[in-house]
Amino acid sequence: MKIVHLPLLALLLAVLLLAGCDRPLSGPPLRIGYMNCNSAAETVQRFHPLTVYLQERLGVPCETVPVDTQDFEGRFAAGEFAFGHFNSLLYVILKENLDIELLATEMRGQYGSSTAGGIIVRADSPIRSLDDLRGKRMLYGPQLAPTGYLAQYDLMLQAGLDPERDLAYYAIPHGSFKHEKVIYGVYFGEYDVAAAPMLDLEIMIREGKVNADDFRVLAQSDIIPYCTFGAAKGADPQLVAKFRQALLDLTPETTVEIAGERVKVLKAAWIDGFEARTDEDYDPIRGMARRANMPPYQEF
Amino acid sequence: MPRDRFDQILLAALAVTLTGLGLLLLVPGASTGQVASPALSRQVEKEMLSQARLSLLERRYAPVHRLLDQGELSAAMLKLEELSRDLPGEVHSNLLRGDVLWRMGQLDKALTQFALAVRGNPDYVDAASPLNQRDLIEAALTQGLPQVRDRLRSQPGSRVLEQVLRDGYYLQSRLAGGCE
Repeated sequence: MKIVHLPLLALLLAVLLLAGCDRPLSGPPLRIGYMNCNSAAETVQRFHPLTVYLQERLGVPCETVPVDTQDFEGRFAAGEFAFGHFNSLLYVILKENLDIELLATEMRGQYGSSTAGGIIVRADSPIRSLDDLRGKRMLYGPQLAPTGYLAQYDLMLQAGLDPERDLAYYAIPHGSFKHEKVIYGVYFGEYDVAAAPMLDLEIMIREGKVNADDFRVLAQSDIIPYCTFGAAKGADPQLVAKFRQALLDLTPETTVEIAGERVKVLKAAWIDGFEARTDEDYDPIRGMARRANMPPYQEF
Repeated sequence: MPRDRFDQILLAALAVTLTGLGLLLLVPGASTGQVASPALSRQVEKEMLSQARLSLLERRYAPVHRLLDQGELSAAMLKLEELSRDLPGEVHSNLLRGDVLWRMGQLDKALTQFALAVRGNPDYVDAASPLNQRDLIEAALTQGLPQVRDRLRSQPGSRVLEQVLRDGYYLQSRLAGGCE
């Protein structure tokens, strides 16, 4: 081999080696806001694999940002993140106030990408109907929970009951795992009646924490969309389309590698899959919020 | 003493007949016809399994049927979830879940559940079976399929709806007598 060919050969080798390597993603990270269900730590643990998956699919660095429910609108409006995962009432609020774009709706449990709120009492309770709730002690979920607060509040209003006046007392549990606390509050007899998300009750039954026979369902709301992914109005349309498709392409077998382990993305996030829904599907929530004088239609 | 060849034939026939009768009396159950062919035995076994399964389903799912009769659909759904702890993978849960979802107006989800049930146990579309649910499935298809097609027109490319449509066509095919 002639000596003049050596630099050429070295250059070719270097090009081939570089082409074989994974190039690190560059640029500012795409921040994805995830609404906290129980705690920021739990949110990061659940959704980090999903963020890694999205990073792989979108080809841009992505970051998981846990967000408190009450702070979501303000932080979204401030441009802290262009994409977010939140409950369906927050979607309605963000759509109304910030004109966000609907991407996909999460599927989980027996109702798929939908769920419902229920008003439950213990099976041995003398309370047989909504009318019997007058003067009783009730436990609700957090105020921005569509199926842990809004749906039950609206059910009572539609039945001619004003929760503010007709109940003896109502409360919202402190801290994390509020929905479980609500269900246990009735189960252990601390409260007469509870505003239970049917999905949480279903999961507690599946896990053997309670039995179906322990409770009586006094009423169940309309079946409404579950947690939702949305994109900011000004987000890059191509990125939005890729983001949506990446969500819809997820299957239970989709995995990502994290710290040398293959992790199932949906299983880690407690999600069964994603479904494309329309904005009109959220109209029943809008109706509930209007009747209950709640955001985004609240009037003082 | 046999006097001629004819007597000898008669005596031989008598001996064969007596021997045969003796064998029939000695072999237990032979006279009552209880020794069945393997094919018949399998048929009886199949029938017994079918009866036992029917009895089990009736007993275990009785609370769900009671709740359905009372119109307590939410409670029926929760009871089905509870039963799935003890009977994971039992497709009768899918059938009843489909029934509840159909009554709740969740037609697309009902079709998916019915398809799971029929794939797991074709007796649900067998008119001669005690598990026959053809009327229920036909009613869900009549109402559900046009709705799913309409939604798919407004949401082209929806994989969930496309799968529901495939489930609907599968059920139609099975109701029409088609194979898997």
